[in-house]
Amino acid sequence: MARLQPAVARTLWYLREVMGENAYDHYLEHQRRDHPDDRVLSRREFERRRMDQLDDHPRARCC
Amino acid sequence: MTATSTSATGRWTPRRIAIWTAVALLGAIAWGVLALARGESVNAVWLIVAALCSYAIAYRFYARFIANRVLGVDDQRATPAERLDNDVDFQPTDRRVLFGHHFAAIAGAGPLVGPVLAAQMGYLPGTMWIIFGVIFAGAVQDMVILFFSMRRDGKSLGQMAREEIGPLGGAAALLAVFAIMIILLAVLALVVVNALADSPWGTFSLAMTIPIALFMGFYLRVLRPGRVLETSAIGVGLLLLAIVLGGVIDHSSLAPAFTLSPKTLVACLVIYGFAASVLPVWMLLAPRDYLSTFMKVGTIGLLAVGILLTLPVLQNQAVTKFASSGKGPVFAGPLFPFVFIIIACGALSGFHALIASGTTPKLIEKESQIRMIGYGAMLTESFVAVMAMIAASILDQGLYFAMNSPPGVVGTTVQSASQAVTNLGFTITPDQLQAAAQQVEEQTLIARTGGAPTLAVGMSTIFSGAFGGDALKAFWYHFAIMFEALFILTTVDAGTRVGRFMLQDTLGNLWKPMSRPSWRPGVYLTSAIVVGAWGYFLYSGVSDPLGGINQLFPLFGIANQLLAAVALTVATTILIKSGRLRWVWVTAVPLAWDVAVTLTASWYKIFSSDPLIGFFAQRSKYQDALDAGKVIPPAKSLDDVSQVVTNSTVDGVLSILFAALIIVVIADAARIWFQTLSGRREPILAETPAEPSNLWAPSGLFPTAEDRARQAEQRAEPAGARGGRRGGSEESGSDG
Repeated sequence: MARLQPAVARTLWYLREVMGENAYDHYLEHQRRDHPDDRVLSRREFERRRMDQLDDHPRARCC
Repeated sequence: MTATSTSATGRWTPRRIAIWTAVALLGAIAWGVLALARGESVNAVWLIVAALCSYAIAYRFYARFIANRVLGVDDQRATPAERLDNDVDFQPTDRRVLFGHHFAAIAGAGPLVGPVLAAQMGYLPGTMWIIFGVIFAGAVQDMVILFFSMRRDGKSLGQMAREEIGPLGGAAALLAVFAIMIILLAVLALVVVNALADSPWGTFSLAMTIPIALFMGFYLRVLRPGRVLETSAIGVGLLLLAIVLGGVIDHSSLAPAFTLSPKTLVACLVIYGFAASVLPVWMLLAPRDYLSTFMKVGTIGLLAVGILLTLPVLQNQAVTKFASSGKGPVFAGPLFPFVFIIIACGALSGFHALIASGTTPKLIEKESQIRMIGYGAMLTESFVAVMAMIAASILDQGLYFAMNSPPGVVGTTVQSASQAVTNLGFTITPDQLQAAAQQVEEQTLIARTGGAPTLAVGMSTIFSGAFGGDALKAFWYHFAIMFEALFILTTVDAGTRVGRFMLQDTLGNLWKPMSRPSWRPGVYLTSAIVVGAWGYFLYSGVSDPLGGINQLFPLFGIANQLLAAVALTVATTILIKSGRLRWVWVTAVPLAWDVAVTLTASWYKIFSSDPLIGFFAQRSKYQDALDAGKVIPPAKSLDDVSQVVTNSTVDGVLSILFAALIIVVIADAARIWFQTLSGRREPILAETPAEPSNLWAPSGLFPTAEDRARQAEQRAEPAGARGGRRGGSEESGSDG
């Protein structure tokens, strides 16, 4: 079981990254690093902006 | 740089030599078994072994050679993700995460459908093309375009064609992209229609994905912003429930309400495509995409596990008589070029060049990662195609031909189908046909063309063998249908939206307001044009008495390979202009092959005097019948006859257009090649100037010992000393 735990954690990390669940954390990190004085969006605002940005930049899916 | 990637990690220890010799030997044995087996039964595991060993060698040696020697990837050079990091479209993304994104974007129903159709010529020709095609053409195209786009800050294929070739080549490339989009959407939608027609179970389950997606969208937007995993888990749960409920509906008084004719389904799909194109993404498109990604990875993994657990024996012949006669009922025409046209996705797919130039190159951390992401993801898609070939080839051949021949050949009853299959040289009794349909709880399996139902029967055989036994056969069948339909609808709704934006951009050049995303009349008009265009081909495919799939699928393959020709031409041009003539064969040889295949296929489709193959021969045959007032089978009325005349004219004209586009792009590029090589033109490359990189990450899937030492060193550095990286937090994990 002890060996299994890091594997589960890694899988979860991977799923979060691939599905974009960590996007907000990355945004916070990015703001802290590059724009420390700017106002930080709340999660709700951020996710809304992220989704609405896709409205005008659809990504093609292949066959 | 090349030196660092080959010095410490590339040393040939005896152990490493032994491993690669073993891989090569095992692969050679597997290919030998496949090639020499005649008449005796072959286990599917040999296909898997041959594929995996070939991929491993290609990835280790050929892809590495292309990355290091031909392209000259340089990890000292900052990628656009590092230089332009804005946390929106440019951001350094963990290579394994980006691999997942890229794979989800390139792989869909295509690699599942093509091999099923190509199985009519036996499993061997298709499998050889899938494996060798991906190694020498498909994966090379994906990686090379990814690299060149990355060196140009993520420019699209159309922009690169314009800058590196010229305005004519660029315009032809843009037209090719739009044309393939329309044909692709129509053909994929046709696969869905054929899979759902008169199937209340399938129709109900798929219809339920719309309310499920709306609910997920609402949940993510309002209740729990950003909790994607939780939302997707709920969505997948509801989806499985919808499949189970579908079985209940199938036996209830509600069944007639979900028993839809092909034409009604066309209307539903067109309305759905329009809605998905004009509604905000958060409502429908994004949640469906989450569902589809989950189901995609899950089901492909399940299929691989199922095949390994059951080790099925192939029922298909290595090479059937249709390979040489070219008179197969699934699609007409000889092995060359048509196997290479029918199997596009999984071997060489031009559409991937659109994804490899655009989103993915803006997210790469290090240049050397193009091998894992560009080449590696395409190898994975190829493996999906091999599994689809296996699923189609473990079916009884009589059943395969009863399912995949158009209604004009097999009729509509089990008796007529059994008779027709016997005429083709295979056997299946009416009772067996009936039993096969009952097992998966479908009304009929006769003439269920399009590949999806065949794949679903194959998958349900594999899954029920591995998990759950015969009792779950119907569930697994509808699970497979649902998952394919889900993929395809995701491609259709995203594609319609992308097509709409392309059209808005183009029309915006003529009249400014058209390109504004906020101007609703423009949005509605362009969406209607795009759905109208693919809807037209979809409708003509559904109502074609000759069978829509065998008419339209070759056209889709030709369009896809045409786009590959554009991509490989752009790549070849850049190699020549950058003075790498000695390596130009890397893209020029696949280009020559692809052009030979595409133009030969176009030649057949335009000039063949066989009405089964040539669109114009078909047109004149039915036009003569129409003039004489005669109804010739499989047409049932004069309306049918005139429908065939219209369809074959449109399809024939399209074939001419596609062939002309290829010739224009290549001729325009050849002009540049000639001018550059003869020294008459100073080659101007549109590459972004190099800037040094401050970021470091492993290049392969698993970090090497050297990588780990470097990671440890990096952790010792004070925080903030280096550039931020997306998703790097788990890098310390000890993979491998």
